[in-house]
Amino acid sequence: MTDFFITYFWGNIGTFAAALILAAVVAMIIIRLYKNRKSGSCGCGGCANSDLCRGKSISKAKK
Amino acid sequence: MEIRIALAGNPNCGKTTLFNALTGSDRFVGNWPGVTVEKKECRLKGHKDVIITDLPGIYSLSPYTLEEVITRNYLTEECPDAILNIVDGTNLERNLYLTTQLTELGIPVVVAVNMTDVVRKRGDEINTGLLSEKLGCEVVEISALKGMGINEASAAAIKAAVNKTPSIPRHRFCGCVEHAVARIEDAVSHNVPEERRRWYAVKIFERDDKVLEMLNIPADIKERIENYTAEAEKEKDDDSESIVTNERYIYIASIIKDCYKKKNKGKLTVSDKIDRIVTNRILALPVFAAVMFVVYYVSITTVGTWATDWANDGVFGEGWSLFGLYIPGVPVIAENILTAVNCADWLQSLIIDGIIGGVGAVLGFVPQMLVLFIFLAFLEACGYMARIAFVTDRIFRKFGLSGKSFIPMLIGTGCGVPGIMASRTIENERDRRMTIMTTTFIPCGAKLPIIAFIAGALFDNAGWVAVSAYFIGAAAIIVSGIMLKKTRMFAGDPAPFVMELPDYRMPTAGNILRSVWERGLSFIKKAGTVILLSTIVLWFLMGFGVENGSFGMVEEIDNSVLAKIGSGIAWIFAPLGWGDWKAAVAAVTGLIAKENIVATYGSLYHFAGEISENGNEIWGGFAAEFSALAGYSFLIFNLLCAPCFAAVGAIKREMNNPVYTAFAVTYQCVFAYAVSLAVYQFGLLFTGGVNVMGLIFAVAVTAFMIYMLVRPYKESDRFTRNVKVKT
Repeated sequence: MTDFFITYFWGNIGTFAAALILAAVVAMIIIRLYKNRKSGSCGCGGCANSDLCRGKSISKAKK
Repeated sequence: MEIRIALAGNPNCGKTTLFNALTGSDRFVGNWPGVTVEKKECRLKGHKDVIITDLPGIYSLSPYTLEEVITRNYLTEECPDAILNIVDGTNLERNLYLTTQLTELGIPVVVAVNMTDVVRKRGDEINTGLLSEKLGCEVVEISALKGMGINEASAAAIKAAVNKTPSIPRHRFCGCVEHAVARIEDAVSHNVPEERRRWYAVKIFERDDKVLEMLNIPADIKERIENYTAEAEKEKDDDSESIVTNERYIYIASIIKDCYKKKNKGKLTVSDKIDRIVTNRILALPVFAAVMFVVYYVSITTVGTWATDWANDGVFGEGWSLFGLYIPGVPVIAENILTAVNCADWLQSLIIDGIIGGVGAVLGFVPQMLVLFIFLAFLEACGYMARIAFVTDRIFRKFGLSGKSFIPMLIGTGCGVPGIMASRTIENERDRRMTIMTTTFIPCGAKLPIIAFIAGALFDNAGWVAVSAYFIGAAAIIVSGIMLKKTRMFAGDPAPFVMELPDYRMPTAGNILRSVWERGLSFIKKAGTVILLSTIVLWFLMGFGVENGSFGMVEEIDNSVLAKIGSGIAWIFAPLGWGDWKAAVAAVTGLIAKENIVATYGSLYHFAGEISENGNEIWGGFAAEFSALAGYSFLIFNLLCAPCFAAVGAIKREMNNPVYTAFAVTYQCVFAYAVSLAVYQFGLLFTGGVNVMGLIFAVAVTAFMIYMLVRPYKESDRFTRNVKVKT
């Protein structure tokens, strides 16, 4: 594991930096999707009409 | 202390437009009922202590639809400090029905007559002073769209809320009804607040289920009330609800006679003249087909293609020229930067081939989608799409649905998730479930890149491909509707459909651009989130595998984990003409997001290093592996099969039943498979290379579908009822 890290990252700062930036971007995306899901939307972040998507389903409303 | 003002009114009278203007929000405004299905709250601009609540549009405070129940419950239980009742000035008679009910609630009411600009343009006049006197509340003229009078309206509502003076309804019913209502008021005086006593009394007189249930009136008082009601019904020779409705409309007619002066009484308006053609019994559908053909032709084939070629080949390709200046494409820039920092080859491949290759393939279609969204936004905003709901009602009714089912499908052309959730406006549970199941057959925004991709790769950007995709979706809905309505699960008469057709109006550029921006931004956000993550996972799966006996990065993509997974399922799709592992993998990744199909191919071909001179590497690679027939079969399958996970999640929430959810998803997959099979196998009869077994299966499947379409529905001849027996 250490050898892998040294070979692929430590010996190459450019790779390390690029990987770090990419990891940060991925983490931000995952957090955003998780927050969307928690807020009741579909979680994909792709809805044009967020009001409909965040509304309760008819069955829940009836309950 | 906070002041709460509720916006109430008929659907499409301008509540949400006014809400946006008062609060500075950018809530979506649609031209069909069901856009606002839950109340929304926001603070009034410049007044931190004033909260404006936008309620769903309703025609009355009766308890028949969910929107009516939501609005009524809010007004009677949460009791806002004032109601700002928005009425459509061009349609005063219908809008005032709700006003007569709102003034009985005991809450201060201010009436805002909207669209006064249109009223004046027509040469009509509304005497707001006299109207105010007759209604017993203040009346202001506004134009929410133009921003006229909205500050005066909000000031009047705040003043009414601060003064706490409840509106006193001026209208009186006929003698026997008033007598009955007065006696009912006495009977329930202990059960209800004084300021709302009249409203409750009228509702009890109408035998409103929800009110009776809520008040829990003792049996003896209930019996007395029933006698009062029966007496009035006997005298008027009609049921109580109809009596009240009739009396209200008589009162409203008298108001209109005195307060509203029409310039061109009896003459056809411009909207009426257009509707004579657009909603004509014979011409309506051909006109609709022609309109959609033009929309998709211009979006996908002409303007859209020019822009997408620039995006695909320039921005996400080798580069492009701007006024003679060469601007490198994103992959070139990324490669230069990563090479300059000595980034490892594997990480360069992940970023350039995986992420940029995949996401870029999807984003390359953004220009086409923006052009399409402009057209659709224009058609929605001008009022034409509302007519289509009316026109399709006649067709839908033949197979057991109503035009109300069209509205979720219309919304589904943007995204399937709000389309599915818009089905909540359908009261009939079976119709609602059927609508949920079939809504996603209409191509949503995410499927457009697939259509454009296949049209470009195999059909030289022919316009008919996109148009046919849209009509195949519509045909799938109709065919599914006919078949499913003949099953016990979905049988039943369609619900009545009443819809107000808004006047045609020239949409403002701002509204169209805002709608296009919202949709386009959503698409781009999805590409930058879900699809980006998918391309990373895909890159790992296609980059690693077992080669030469050990697990690691592979030289040949056919040795990758992805290829192994794809090969394991590819045989399922062989009868459809695309039994290749790449196509199988692409179809599966489409479950995450439909655009992923294009992203997958983008990653696959970039990863494989298949770069061509003109940059159309994806199209060239795809065209080499697919015949036109197989490509069309692939398109149909992905258009009709189960939607993305987000939409499946919406189906699950709206069905609220695991059996129905599983049935919906299974049905969509099986239907898509059947149609693709039939298209491919019958197509081979014309192109050559007929497969006998495949043809036999296709004939069997087609015969079954035809049988399901033409068979009569047999009513059950047994009546089963569960009865509890006390012992």
